[in-house]
Amino acid sequence: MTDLVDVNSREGLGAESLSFGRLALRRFVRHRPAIVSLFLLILMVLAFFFAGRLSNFAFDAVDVTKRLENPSREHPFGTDEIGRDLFVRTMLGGQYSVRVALQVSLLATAIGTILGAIAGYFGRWVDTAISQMINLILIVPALIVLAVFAQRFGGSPVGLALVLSGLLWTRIARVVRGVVMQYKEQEFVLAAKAVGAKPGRIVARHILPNVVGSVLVEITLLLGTAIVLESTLSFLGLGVQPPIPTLGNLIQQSKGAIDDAPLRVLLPGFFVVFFVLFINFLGDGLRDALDPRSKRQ
Amino acid sequence: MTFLLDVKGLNVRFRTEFGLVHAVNEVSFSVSKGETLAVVGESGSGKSVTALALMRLLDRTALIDGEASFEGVNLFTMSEKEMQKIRGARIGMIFQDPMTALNPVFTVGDQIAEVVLIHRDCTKQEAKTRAIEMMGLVGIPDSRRRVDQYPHEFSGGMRQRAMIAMAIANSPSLLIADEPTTALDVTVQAQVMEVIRSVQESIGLTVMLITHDLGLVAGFADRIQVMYAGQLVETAERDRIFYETRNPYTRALLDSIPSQLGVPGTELKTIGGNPPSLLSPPPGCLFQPRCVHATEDCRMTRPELKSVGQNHLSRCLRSSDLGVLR
Amino acid sequence: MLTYVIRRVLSTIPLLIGAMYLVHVGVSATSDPLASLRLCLPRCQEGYDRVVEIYELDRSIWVRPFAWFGDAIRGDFGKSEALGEPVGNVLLERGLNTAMMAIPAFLISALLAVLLSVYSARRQYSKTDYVLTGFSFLGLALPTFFVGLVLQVFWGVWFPQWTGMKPFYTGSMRTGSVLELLQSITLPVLTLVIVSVAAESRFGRANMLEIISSDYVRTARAKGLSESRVIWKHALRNAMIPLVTLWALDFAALLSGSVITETIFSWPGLGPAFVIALTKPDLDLVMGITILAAVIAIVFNLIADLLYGWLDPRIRFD
Repeated sequence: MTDLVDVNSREGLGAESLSFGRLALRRFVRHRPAIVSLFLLILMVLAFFFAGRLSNFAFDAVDVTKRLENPSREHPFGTDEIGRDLFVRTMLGGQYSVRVALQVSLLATAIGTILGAIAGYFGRWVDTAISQMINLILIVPALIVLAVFAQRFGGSPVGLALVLSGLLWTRIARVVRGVVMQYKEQEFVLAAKAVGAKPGRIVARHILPNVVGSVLVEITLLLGTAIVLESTLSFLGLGVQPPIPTLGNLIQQSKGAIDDAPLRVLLPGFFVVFFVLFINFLGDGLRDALDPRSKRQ
Repeated sequence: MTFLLDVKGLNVRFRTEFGLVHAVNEVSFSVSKGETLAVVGESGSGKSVTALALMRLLDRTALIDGEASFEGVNLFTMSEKEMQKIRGARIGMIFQDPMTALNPVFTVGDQIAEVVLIHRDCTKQEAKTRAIEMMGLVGIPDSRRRVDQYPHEFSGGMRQRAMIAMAIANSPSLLIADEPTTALDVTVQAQVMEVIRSVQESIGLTVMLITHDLGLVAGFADRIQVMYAGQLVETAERDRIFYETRNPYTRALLDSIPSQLGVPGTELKTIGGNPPSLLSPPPGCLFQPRCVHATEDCRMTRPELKSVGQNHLSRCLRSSDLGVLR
Repeated sequence: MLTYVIRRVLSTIPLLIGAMYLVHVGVSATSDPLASLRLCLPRCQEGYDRVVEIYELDRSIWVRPFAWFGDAIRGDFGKSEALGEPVGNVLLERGLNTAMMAIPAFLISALLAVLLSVYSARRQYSKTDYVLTGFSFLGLALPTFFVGLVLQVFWGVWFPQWTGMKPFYTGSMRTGSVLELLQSITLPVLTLVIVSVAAESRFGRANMLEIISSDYVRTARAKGLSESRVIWKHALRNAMIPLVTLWALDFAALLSGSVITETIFSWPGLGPAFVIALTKPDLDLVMGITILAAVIAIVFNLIADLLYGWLDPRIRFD
């Protein structure tokens, strides 16, 4: 029955002349949770980057006469133990967290794509070496690597991004490796080889375009993972160190006041949760749009 | 004359995100005891849906109405519990793809014995003995050993035999075979059909064979009914369908059978175009856009199923002026 | 199958050695046990020399791991400077505390995951299914520390404010009586359950839905089996196959110490010990916990593969 409905719907829409990209875009736009999430995500990131400027307070301006104040017109999120404005600090924290996540997803994607493509294309000992490297990274509990290296580099946002990327490139590498191995024996690639194209060109021009879809989905997942890991590490005191605020170390700092002002502890956490939630919806929408065979569930 | 199965006014509609799809429309037919009825049509013609509707195996999106009287009871009004006593006991069913129709994690023997065990009052050992016996009956060699093997250790043809063994293990009166050979190699197809024929003779089975392959039913069916776009378009004794074809669609189907003799230079005929949308069917004859005999009238008027000879019905406005189609 | 197990275990040994070597070098490179002692030289030359000797600081960091390997083979995992006890004892005592929390958390979440996936599959697109799917989606977005904090705030602050009762302890392990143990273990276990059930039930539901529309489930129905037999026997056995791997990984992670949950609830398990070891840093303790976690991961991966083969007759070990 499904093929029948499918034929009809396509006839009805007159869509057979649309390119894959336009079809994917159309499917994505029709995925309402993904569109709403994308909109809210953009709103959230804009707020992180610009809302802090609306306030009259600097993120590190101490005012001990106004400690632990409740939310007011002046301080929309209240103040912390030494009277710093929590709205500005939360926005800035969000900004640093998002920056780290973006850096991680870019860097990890670059490393993963390059190493995955090399492993998949050349096979043999190159593949074995890269695959064993991936296994090595997976066998050590992630937190150890993170903590050991975070001790050295993790105090700064860029350092933490480097460490997280060094850990998170493996998933993308595996995805890319799989797709490259699948495509490298196909006729159009063999044809390119036959006319003497160089490996780099073959991979970049003929094979990598096929992985764009899966990699896009992986990048969204990566953004979510990175922001959770960043906040978790900073929460444990192993991530970005004060005075630079991130969503994680803001929670860590106000944890002592959990009995008196519990919402103050939870607030930065809500931003993490919603960021990840929207990212996941976005990833779902992308997956549905880019893989027509996947079932919508 | 009483029929084993008597279906009246069967309608099946599916709720989809685009609207209601009329998959089966006002289909009425009957099957007498011991005969073989072949239901023929392209994919999407509603033949498989008809069979699954009779077994009540369609999912919740399907809306079924009509009446299906089987051994004197209406299949569509009985409770699900009563229906479970019919399935696998009084009606056996086999499916198109034997590679996926058997559960990969249980042995073939367990799966055959299970159907015996739940419908009969017997021990596990007796059920297993029955399974071995059935596997022998459908021509699985070395059945005593193979009863403990898993489906992946069976070839496609052997799996379909196992499916048949499972379907007939409780000596049902009706066997519904839904495209039983489509997924198999040509050489194996004939063997599987031969198995169905031989068990039909040995236990007096009535068979409802669903297929798109008119060549396959030529030597097998007593009666043939042709379906198109959810409607019955022609039904008659086998020979009348082949030699006194009255419906243009049946003719087109017959013409698209590759010649067995393979006369060099003869062109293989196909039916141009696609079946109509079942979401919003056009007003006139549903086959009209693809029909070589279509007239202006065919576009406007929906033809009824009319008698055109002894036990011979056809759905065509022009059946009387076209006569026998060759 | 025995040869398969032996080969699998042997093949992971080089990886394990490589990983341990890297961790040892990494921790040595990022830490300086002499930092405080150096300040009081030459007054505490004696202590300084002792630390140099214990950690073999006069040798290159690239050869230092070998001494650790030598001792470890003989069953000596060194002494934890931070906790003042042999690492072996720390692992045993803390490992038991962790297991006390990990085992119920694993069992409850596995059971819930099965029940929820079966429910969703039988009532697909019902209101309850939508609500459950929504919750599991939300659950996937929840960082563990946030779940823990929310539970602490609710049961530690809000609930007592409203009712004047505090049914659960929000920090520290108490073993005075069974009731006290239950009161202190409930919230950490609940945290772990919430986090793992979200992922497991989402995965389980997707599997179950795919299987429920498969041909062999239709065959089972065509045999006249009752719906519950179709689901619990024919569909579930198949749906469990991919779940087993996820379960093994989850259980291994729980057993090697849930760093975040245990830290938040001050549970004296392997997790907080690990954080202490890392922040000091206490090299022998880091190495001890790492190798325990790695061995647990390897063992459970192997168990997952064996279970996989047992559930799916198409897999052969040779």
